[in-house]
Amino acid sequence: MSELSSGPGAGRPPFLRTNVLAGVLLVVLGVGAFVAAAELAGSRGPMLGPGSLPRGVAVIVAALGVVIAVVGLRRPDADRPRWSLRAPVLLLGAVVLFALLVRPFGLAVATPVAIVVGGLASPETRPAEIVVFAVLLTAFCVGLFRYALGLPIPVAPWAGL
Amino acid sequence: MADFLAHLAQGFGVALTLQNIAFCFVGCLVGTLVGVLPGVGPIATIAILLPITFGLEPVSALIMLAGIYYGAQYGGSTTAILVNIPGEATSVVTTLDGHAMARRGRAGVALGVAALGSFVAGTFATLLIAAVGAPLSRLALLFGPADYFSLMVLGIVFAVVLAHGSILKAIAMIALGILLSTVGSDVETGAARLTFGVSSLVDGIDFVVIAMGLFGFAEILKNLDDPEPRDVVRERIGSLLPNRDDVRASALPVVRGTLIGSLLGILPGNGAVLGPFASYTVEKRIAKDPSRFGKGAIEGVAGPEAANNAGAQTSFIPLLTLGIPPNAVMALMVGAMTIHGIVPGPQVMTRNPDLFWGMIASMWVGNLMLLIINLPLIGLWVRFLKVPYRLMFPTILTFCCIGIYSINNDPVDVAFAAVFGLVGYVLIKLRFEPAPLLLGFVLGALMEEYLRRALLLSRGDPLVFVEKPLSAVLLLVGAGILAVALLPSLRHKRDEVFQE
Repeated sequence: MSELSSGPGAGRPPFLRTNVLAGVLLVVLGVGAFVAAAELAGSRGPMLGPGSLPRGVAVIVAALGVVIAVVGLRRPDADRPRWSLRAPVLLLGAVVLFALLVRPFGLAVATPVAIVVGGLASPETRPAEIVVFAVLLTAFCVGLFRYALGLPIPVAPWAGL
Repeated sequence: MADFLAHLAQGFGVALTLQNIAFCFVGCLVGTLVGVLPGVGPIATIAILLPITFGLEPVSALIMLAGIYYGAQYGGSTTAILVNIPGEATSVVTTLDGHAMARRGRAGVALGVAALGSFVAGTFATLLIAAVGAPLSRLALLFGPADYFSLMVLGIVFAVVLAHGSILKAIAMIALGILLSTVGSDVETGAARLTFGVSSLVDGIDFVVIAMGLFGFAEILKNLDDPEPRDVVRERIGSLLPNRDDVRASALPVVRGTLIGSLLGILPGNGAVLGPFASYTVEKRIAKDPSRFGKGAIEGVAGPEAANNAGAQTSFIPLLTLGIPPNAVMALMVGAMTIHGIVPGPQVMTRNPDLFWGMIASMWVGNLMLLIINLPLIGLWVRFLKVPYRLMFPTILTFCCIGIYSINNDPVDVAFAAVFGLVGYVLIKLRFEPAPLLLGFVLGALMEEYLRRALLLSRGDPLVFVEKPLSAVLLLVGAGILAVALLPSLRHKRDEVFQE
């Protein structure tokens, strides 16, 4: 079972293999959940306690994590996933910015900011184009969600809208 | 027989007045247009559009509502196929092969098959309701909590079989989903579980938040990392409607899906949500070449969509006769109906027959309208895909953010969706699949409730799940499906079980 020289994933240290990381993640999540649910009451007789299912499932998650990690240690990866930092940071950052800005500053500010910042996550984005697009899409969304559909989303609280 | 025809005649007499047809049309159109926006699922759509119906007469209002409901569901399927974002739990299955078909330039075919399959299913379901609605609802009462629990376990087995990658990882995802479903206040004791002191988590995690994060945002990130496949979608529009081969391939799956969905929809305990998953499992098992599934097998769209629609219609039976709404969408419908004068209960069929049968008939009319509205629109939706991705994904991002915010007007929901987007991205990179997680999440809460009740009724005896006949049968079926799924892998190579 020594396929260490095969596949593009070969040559990576075993503890960095996808399956190993996957397994470790599961173990961390399982153990974390178990600890977080440690203080909840367990079952007494026929009554299922609030902690029973979370702890039980957490154990299953962690156990599966161990198995997957062990498998990962024994076989090299079939391929090499590429991780990038720019896209997740910018895209999810845009979402978080929207969440932060929507209540105090309204859709009129939160939406274009989210569009521009999110747009930057892609290398194909053209600066002038995305800014114009942001303005147009914001206008459309405000018209649709606030005025046509009547959703109670603040548009521009600083301007009284 | 005479009864059955008389009911239908009465219903259509009400539903087919010019005025009501117009209301139905408007409802379907508006429901579809709003439901198709990524980030705005059926629940949000109905909640948003419900006020429009207030000023109308009861019958017309309910007819318009039925139109909105079906429009929203179909809009959700459209989003699932085009941009891989499920609007509600039942659309998750559609994303698997539906979106794969879209990636291969067959989006129009997928949409068309979904529309036609749904229509056929809806027709059959309407006839079923008219014929055997009342007696069937009594049948559903045979199910006890232990049986429901085993039904949910069966649902979990379906989710495992759904995965086309490592089965071990799929089970892990389901378990994680169940774990996530426990976040929030415990139903029995009110104890805060896994909330880490965050007050927004006390009510649990909203399905839309997880779905948007895991599917919406993570999908965008995945596409940004791998830009090549998008060109395929852009160039090949192909034929817009299903051709003869497609129809022939979808015919039997639609029939099977309709039966599965109709039967599961009758169960008061949200059995309808299992319909698409069960149908997908069946189709994958029966297919001559199961490896096509997950890559654009048309049966994987036709069957589940039919099951979805059939279940959506037959779930009105327990809803109207027992007054039990199986999910949030139905709860809204019950609320709307109560506002307009239909009070669910055993006498609802005899006390307001006009309203009741008019509503049933208008559901069929709604299905027809959807077909009429959407088949021409398919061309428009497919052209949508030609928009350059650098402009499309900010649009999806925006609609998702606004859609999520609009549920509870809570920006923390939006922030959580971002967290799930990150989680989804990490999971995809680590070669996990998000669909089983979502199903585990949906079923988790239900499973726990039934587990609780079953154990309470049996005074803590865990053998009750094999002692009650229905429950035992369901568990056996589940074990059987799991064994059949794992057996070939064990026979060929042990590695297949752990494949990437």
